[in-house]
Amino acid sequence: MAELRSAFKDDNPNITQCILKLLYIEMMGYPVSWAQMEVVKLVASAKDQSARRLGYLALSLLIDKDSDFLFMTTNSIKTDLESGSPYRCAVALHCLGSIGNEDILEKLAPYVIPILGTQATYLRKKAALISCNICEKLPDQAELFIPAAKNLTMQKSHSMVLSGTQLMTAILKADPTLWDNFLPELRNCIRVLKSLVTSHSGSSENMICGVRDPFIQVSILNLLLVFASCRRKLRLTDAVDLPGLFASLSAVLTGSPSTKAAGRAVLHTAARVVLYIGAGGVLRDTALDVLARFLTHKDNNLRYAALSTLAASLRDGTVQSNEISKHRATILHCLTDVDPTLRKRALDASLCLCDKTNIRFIVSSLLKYIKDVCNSLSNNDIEMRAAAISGIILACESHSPTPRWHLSTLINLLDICGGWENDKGVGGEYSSAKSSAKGSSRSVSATFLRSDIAASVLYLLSLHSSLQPYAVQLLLHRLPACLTTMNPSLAYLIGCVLGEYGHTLVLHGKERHGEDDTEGGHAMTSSSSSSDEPIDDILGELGLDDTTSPGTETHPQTSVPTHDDSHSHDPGSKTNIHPSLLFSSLHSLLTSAVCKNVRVHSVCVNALVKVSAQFPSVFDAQPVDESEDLSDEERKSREDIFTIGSETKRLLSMYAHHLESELQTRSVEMCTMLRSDKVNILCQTIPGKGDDDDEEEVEEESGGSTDEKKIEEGEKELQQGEKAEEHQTSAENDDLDDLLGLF
Amino acid sequence: MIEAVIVVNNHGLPRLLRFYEDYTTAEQQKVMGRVYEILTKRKDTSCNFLSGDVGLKNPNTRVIFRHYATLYFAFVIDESESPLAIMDLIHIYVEALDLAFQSVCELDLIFNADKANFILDEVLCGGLEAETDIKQVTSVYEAMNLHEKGKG
Repeated sequence: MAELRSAFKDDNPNITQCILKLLYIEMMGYPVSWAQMEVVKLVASAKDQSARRLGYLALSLLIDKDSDFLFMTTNSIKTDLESGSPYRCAVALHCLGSIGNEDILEKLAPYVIPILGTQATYLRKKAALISCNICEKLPDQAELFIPAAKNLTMQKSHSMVLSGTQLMTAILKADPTLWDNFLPELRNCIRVLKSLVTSHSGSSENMICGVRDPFIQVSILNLLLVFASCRRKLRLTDAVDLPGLFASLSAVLTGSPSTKAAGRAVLHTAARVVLYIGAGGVLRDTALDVLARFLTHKDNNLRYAALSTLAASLRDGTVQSNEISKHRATILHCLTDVDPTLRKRALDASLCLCDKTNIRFIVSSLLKYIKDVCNSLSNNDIEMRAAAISGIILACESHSPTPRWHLSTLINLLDICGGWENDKGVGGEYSSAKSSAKGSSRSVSATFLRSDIAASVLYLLSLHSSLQPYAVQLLLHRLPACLTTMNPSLAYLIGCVLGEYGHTLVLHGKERHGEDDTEGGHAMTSSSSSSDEPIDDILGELGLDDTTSPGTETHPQTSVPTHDDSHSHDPGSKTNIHPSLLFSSLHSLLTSAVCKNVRVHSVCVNALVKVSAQFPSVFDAQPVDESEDLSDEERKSREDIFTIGSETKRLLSMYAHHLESELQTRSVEMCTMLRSDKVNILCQTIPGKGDDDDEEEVEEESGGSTDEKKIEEGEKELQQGEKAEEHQTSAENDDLDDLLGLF
Repeated sequence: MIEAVIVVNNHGLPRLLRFYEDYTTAEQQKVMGRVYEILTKRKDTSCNFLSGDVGLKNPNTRVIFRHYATLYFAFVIDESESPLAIMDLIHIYVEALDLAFQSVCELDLIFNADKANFILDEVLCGGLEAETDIKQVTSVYEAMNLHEKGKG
């Protein structure tokens, strides 16, 4: 580099060689800004054409676009533009083409316009393209180029027409209101398009693989697209008089050979135009046919083009999803393709395809995809996963057929993805924390929770109170799996829902039990299975079934400390959900390692406090005396209830010295209340027009946001029920045993 | 429009860089590095289109590339261009180079970088397709060369 500097200083006659070396060095990435002055000098003082050409090239490549050096050259560019010599003009235009600076373009625009009117076709073409740039950067100047554009498109020579259409496209993009200037030219373009495809006479110039002038065809089609989008932007829906438009489009669609790349490009663009302008009938079918052929082609490029066009059209609303429903399977199949770009496109297309009728099928395939395929750590997979998950959430929100389905899908999603630490996937952190597949043994300091999904579930439940017991039932069913796979987000959701809505399941069970003894069980099973039958089949495949046939399934290993026999698990057919179930679930959550996550921890403790406040009778149980005359089942049930009560008290008192002040406050209050004799009175809900009792104020804090009268009734029933249970027959005791032995 | 034309060899060394928007040298090198990175990861059977951010001002760009022997020819385009048509354009450019240099190879591009740029100027101007007929491109280029020799 030092040599170069000295060479420049010495005014070496071989200055062109030096400049060439400079260009090469710049391309390699070394800073050469010290040489900008030399370049300017070369351009200004160029004696011959080769020097000038090189100088302009160096100008476009080397000079910083914001620098003042560029302004110094404006004068030389201007002189060259005005000169009569086509060669000087041409190189000046080339240079202008590469410079994107708005000030320079604005200054030199008046010198470009006259060139558009000259006879030299070569110069006119270049000038037209520079004008496109000017229109883009300075949209208010677009009007100046209208006459030139009109002129160009009416020419015979095809390359003129090409530049003309490009200029028109640029003008329309810059200023959509100018569309009405171009109607006659548009008609001419359509005619040209048709003649290119249909006529076999004429020059064979520009034949590429048997397609005449594909670039002009694509350019005209693009122009039509931009024209249609202008009118759409301006919200004009009246018909425009463009005769022969449909005829020429259908000629293009049927006439272009689809075996070669050039023909395919034309076909693809034509299909896109047909769909965008909303043509109907045979033309539309032909276009959709073309896209369908591309979808199943073995060339990846075509599949990519078809998928992206379909996704764009679906998003625009120009294509309805029922029209391409028969290609749904192909699109979903592309999800598992080897090529990651294709996978991304397929995901996009399938999410756009969702509507009320097919969302169940699509979402279940996507869930399967996330679960089976996206479980490696490569960056691609992580991106795909994140996109798929957020896509599913959005699609469910807009198109879910029933709130019940929405809820169960969200919970399934949380089940699959809640255990992954960070879906945004920063490679290093991720791999150090994860030591085995599928989410076990996570780093316990992970604080990434899918609280977005949890928030959606809670919002849904607050809107539809009839879903609350169903949600609690679902989540209780998922709890053992959640504990084994250490899924913190699911644990967080379980804690929230059990705390807020756990009592609704008990009440629901009570109501049903009151209605009809024998039918109640089947009613619950059948009501939950009838509305979700299709999804249940698919969920069954995935192993995420949420309804079971009575009494045949056993659950996988759990870590619940209080019950160590695994009875058959059957949430659906049991109507009499005992609140002890809620307690034992929360105990198992609190004592498992998944609770080391701070937020999950505090949520579970709060939930335990809420549930204790709602069912304080569990603390009434006395320890069983040997002398009491009870049957074995009665003894066991009383022992179990007593164990639950004492375990809850123990767990709550553990937090009396916790660092977090809220946990500490709640635990101390609750323990104090539990120690007093008047627990039941304390935990009564406040009547409508509240009195200001101290004790009741304490209760208010932990009472939750539920219907007060229902709670009261529920509690009274519970107390009566418990007393009745102590003297019940052995048949009902079996029931109770089964319930308590659920885990 | 076409935002950038990037020609890199198999080892990541640039052979031709042309950006049709304002970028400093450092930014250009970054973009080139990013494009090279994603290009080398592709298998030969996967499609020639890549979408994704390569560090340009416009984030919705796609990279259309073709692999010829030791060189990758990559055109970075925005949404208004048809990817299949650009594949053809890349081929036209390469054929024009072939005609001008008589069986072009990588060395030709290294030692005649300015000529490669001039030919590119004939095919693309300001990021838009100027001339797509190979015969026209080469004839204009020859005429320019003759004119230079005549004058100089």
